[in-house]
Amino acid sequence: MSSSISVIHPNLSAGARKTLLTYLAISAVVFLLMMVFGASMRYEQSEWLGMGPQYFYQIMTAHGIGMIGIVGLAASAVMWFFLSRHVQLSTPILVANLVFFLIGVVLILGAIFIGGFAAAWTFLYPLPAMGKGVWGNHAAASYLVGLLLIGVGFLLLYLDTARGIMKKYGNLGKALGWPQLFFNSQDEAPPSAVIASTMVLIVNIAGIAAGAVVLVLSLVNLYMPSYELDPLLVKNLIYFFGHVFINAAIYQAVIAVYEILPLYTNRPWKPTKVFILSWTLSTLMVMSVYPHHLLMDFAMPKWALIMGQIISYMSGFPVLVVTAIGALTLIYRSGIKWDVTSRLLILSMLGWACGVIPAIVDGTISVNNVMHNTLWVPGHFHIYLLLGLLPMLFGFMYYLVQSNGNKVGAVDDVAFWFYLVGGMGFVTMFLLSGKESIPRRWAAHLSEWVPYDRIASVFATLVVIGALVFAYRFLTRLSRINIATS
Amino acid sequence: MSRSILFFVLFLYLLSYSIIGQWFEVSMVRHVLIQIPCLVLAGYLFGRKSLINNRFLILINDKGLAGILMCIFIGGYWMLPRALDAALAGSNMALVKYISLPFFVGIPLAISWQRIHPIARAVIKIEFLTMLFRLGWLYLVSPNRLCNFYQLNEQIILGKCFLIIATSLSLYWILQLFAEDYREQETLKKNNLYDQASS
Ligand code: HEM
Ligand SMILES: [Cu+2]
Repeated sequence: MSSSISVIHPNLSAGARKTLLTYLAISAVVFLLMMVFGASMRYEQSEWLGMGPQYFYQIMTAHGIGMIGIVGLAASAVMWFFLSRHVQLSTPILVANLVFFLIGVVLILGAIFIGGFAAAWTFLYPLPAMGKGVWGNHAAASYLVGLLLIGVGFLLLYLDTARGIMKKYGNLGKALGWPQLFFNSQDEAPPSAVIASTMVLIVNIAGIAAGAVVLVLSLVNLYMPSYELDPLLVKNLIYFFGHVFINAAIYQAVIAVYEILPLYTNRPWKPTKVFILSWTLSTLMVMSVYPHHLLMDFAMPKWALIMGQIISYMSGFPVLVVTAIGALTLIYRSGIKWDVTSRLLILSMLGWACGVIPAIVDGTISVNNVMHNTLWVPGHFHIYLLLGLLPMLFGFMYYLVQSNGNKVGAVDDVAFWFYLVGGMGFVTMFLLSGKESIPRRWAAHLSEWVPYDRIASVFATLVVIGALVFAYRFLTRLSRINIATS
Repeated sequence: MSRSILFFVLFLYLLSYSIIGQWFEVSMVRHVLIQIPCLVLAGYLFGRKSLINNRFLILINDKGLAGILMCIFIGGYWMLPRALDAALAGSNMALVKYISLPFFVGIPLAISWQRIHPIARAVIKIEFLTMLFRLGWLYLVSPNRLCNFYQLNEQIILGKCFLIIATSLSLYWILQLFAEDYREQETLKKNNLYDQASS
C-alpha cells in the first residue's frame, strides 16, 4: 500500500545522515522516558505511587524541560533534513549542536536528580535561589548553565541555517518570499521548507539571545543575591524565550507535513501568496504574543496584556489555517494512501487545530484570571504538543522507516489508535479538571479530584504504550532506513 | 604607510597621556564609551590600513583564530570594572591600557575579523550584544559602586547607555539582514581573501 513512498535526499552526506538519525534515535528514547515521567505524575496524583512531593516536583521539572528540549532537537532534525535539500548546511555544526545538547542534558539531569533542583522548567526568579535545603545554589547553577549550553548549540545551528539561506537567497526578506508578496516578483518563490526555516531562525535566535541574557543574570543573582532582579522583567524574558522556542518546534516540524503529504496524495504543495503572508505574520506574532503568560501579573502595562490577548486570538491562525486548508485540499479526493505516516500527519493537523480553541479561551484576560493556574493550561498545550507536534515528529520517523518499500506491521496501526484514543482522553481529562478548577502543579490532590486523575492515568498509559511501539519500531529499523541520494 | 603611522601615534597620544586623555577619564561614561572604544578603534583602523595584508601576520594568524582569541581575552579583561580602577590608580596599569587596547585588541581584531569563520563572526556579534544587555542590567541593579573611582549615579547612566547601544545595534544588524544581499558579498569576500592569502 505504502510501498511506493520514496525518501529522496539528493545531497545528504553519510555523516549528516548518521547525525540526523542519531538526533531522532535520541529523541525517540527521550520522548518515551519523558512520557513515563508524565504518566507517573498522574499516577502520583491518583494516589497509586506515593513518591512524595519532592520527587514529584523533580519529575515535573524534568518532564517540562526534557520535553521542550527534546522536541526542539527532533524538530530541528526535521528542518535540517528538508532544508538541506535546498541550501548548503554544515554537518560539523549539526554535530556540535548535539554535543552541546548532551552536555547540557547531563548538567540538567544532575541538577535535578542529584542536586534536587525542582523549581519547574521555567526557573522563574527568585525560586532557583530559594531551594531552602531541598536544593542548593550549585544545583540551580548547574541547571541554568545546562540550559545555557543547550542554547549555545541551537544558536550555532540557527546561525548556520541563516548563513546557508542567505547565501542562496540573498537575505532574510527574500527567503521569506517578500519579493513575491510585496513586489509582484515573477521569480519562483522559495520552497516552503526555506520560508518556514527562515521564520524559525529569526524567532529562535531572538529567543535564545533573550534567554542567554536572563540565564546569566539569574546565575549572577544566585551567587550575589544583593543584585536583585526585577521579577517581572525576568518573567517577561523567560516567557519570550520559552514561548518562542516551543512554538518554533511546531513550525519546524510542520515542514514534514509540507514535504511528506504531497507524496501521499501525488499533488504538489506550492507556496502561494497567502502562504507567504501567513508565515510573515506568524514571524511577528510568535514574538509578540508571549504576554498571554503574564495575564495575571497586574503590574504589567495594560497595553502589553491587551496586545497579548488580541494577538493570542490571531497568532495561531495564519500558518495553521493555510496549513490545514492546504492539507485538506491536498487530501480531498486524492485517493491518499493511508498508513501510519499519513495518519500521524493528519492527526497532527487535527491536534494543532483543536489545541487553538482552548488556547484562545485561556488567552482571554477575564477567563485567564480564573483558569490560569488550573489544569486547563496543561490541557491546552498538551493538545498542541502531544496531539499536534509529536505526531509530526513520529510521522517523520515513520516516513524514514517506511522508506523505499520497507513495511511495518499491524502492531503499528494498533499503536496509532492507542496513541490517538489515549491522547484525546488524556487531554480531555486535563480540560475537565481545569473546568473543575483543579490547580496545576500540585503533587497531591483532594479526594474529589482523584477520580479525574485515575481516568487520566489510564489514558496516559495508552499513550505510553502507543509511543513505545513507535519508538521501538524506529530504533529497531534504524539500520534499514534507506534514503536514496540521487 | 608612514603617514598612517604618524596619525596612529598622534591619535594614541591624544587619547592617553594628554589633557584630553585625562578629560576622558574623569567620567566613567566617557572613559568606557569614548576613550576605550577610541583606543581600540585607533588600533583597528591602523591594522586595516597597514597590516591586513602582512604576510607574516597572515601566516601566524591562521584563520584568524589567534588574533580573535587575543582580542576577546584582552578586551574581556578591560570589561571588568576592577580593570578600570587599576588603570586609574597606578600609571603602570594605565600604560598597559594604552598599549594593550590598540595593539592587542584593535589590531588583532582588524587582521582577524574577515578571516574567521562566518558563524564565529555571528556568534561574537550576538555575544557582544547580549553582554552589553547583561552589563547594562547589572549596572542598573548593582547595590554598590563597582569602580572605586566613580560614583553610583554615573554607573547607572553607563548602564542605561549600554542598553541603548545594545538595542540600537541589534536593530541595525537585524535591518542589515533584511536589506543587504549576501549572495555576492559572501563569494566576493571569500575570493578576495583566499586570493590574497594564497598568492
Ligand atoms: C504521555 C504523554 C504525556 C503525559 C502523560 C504528560 C503528563 C503531564 C503532567 C501530569 C503534567 C503536570 C500537570 C500538573 O501541573 O499537575 C505535565 C506538565 C507538562 N508537560 Fe506533559 N505529558 C505528556 C506529554 C507531553 C509532551 C509531548 C510535552 C511537550 C512536547 C509535554 C510538556 C509538558 C510541560 C511543558 C509541562 C509543564 C510542566 C510545569 O508545569 O512546569 N508533555 N505533563
Ligand atoms: Cu505562549
